[in-house]
Amino acid sequence: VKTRIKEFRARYGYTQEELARRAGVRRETIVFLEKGAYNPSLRLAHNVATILHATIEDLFIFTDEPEPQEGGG
Amino acid sequence: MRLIAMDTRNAVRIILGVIFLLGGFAYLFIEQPFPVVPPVLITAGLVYIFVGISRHRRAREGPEQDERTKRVAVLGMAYSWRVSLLLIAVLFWIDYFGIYRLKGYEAFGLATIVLAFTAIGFQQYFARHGDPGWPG
Repeated sequence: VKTRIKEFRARYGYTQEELARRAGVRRETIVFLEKGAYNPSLRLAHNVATILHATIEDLFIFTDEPEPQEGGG
Repeated sequence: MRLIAMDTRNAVRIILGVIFLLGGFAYLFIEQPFPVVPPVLITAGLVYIFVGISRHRRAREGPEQDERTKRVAVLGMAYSWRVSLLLIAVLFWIDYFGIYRLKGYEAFGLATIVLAFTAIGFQQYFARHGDPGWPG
């Protein structure tokens, strides 16, 4: 999963901490979300999308391609 | 430094810790039919106080738990249970074939320690990964 959370967050001037506080999660969860390293629940995805005045489809881009392995070339 | 109200659970942890700690020290000054009690009470008290304070400090960074940390906790326990089950099976066969005759308290003690430490280990491992996935 690729995300555009960072881009939308910057658009509204939110820090990761501020977004986390509004979404009711820990900051690390936002960090992993932005990296596309965490698949959130539908509720969290909806919450984040609402805070960033976007839709889930705007924020999360699902690809069918297998994700590259860490450390792979 | 930003001060925040203390969560009731953390306050209870700290109060329990102080009670255990004082109880442990008080026990030192009375007749001791069970000498193991003071160190157990003092250790438990220190652990409760430490956990209460550290969780209160972490609360400044956001909620103590969210959906990811809950998943990490559950997965850590699940993997820990698997490892411990394997260990208990190995211990059974070791005892069955007479390689080493385990006493009851040794088996229980070992299983308890392995359960606790592998749970912590797995949880720390999964916490460093974004999406820990589910055990297959």
